Amino acid sequence: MQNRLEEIRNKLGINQEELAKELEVSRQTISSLENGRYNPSILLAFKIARYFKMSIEQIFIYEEE
Amino acid sequence: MLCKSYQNKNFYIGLIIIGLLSITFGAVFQQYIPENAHNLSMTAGMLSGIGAAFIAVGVIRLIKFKRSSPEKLKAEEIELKDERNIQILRATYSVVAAASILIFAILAFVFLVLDYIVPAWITIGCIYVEVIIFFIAYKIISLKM
Repeated sequence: MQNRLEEIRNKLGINQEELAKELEVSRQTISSLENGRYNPSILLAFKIARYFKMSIEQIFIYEEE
Repeated sequence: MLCKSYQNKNFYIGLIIIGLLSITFGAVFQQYIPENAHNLSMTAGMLSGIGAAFIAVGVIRLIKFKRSSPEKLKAEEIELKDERNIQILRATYSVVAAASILIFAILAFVFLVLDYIVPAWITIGCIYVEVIIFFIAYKIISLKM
């Protein structure tokens, strides 16, 4: 699954540390999400979407294999 | 569960109490052991050692709770509850569990070669216990999910 997390975060001028603090996750989790090494749980996906006031689909791109 | 306990002061107070009981039991037990019973003496020593370790961990954590700022404790809590960290921990546990079965199997083989029949049976028993625990845990967890 791909995501636009880094792009959206950069657009809003927030660094990984700040985003991690807001979402109550570690900075490494944000980094792993942005690199596509880690897919978030549905709860974290909702948290991220709510934080950016977007829908999950606007941030995470699901590609069927 | 462990993550919740890690941030709970009562958990560490309990740990200190268990440690104190363990040390006391070890020390008292030592008084009644005949001089030539080295195995029992070692057991009493182990109990005291484990007790001391529990007390040390409990005291260190309680001091840390007292000294650390709320922000630092919050950051620590986030690290513990972080879903990626939890997944890493679970994956690591799985690897350790698989490795332990392999180690037990190798140990059982080594004991048999050395003609240590009782330790070999104990080791084989441990493998069976581990497999049984796996099925019980699988059943319980699948009922919860």
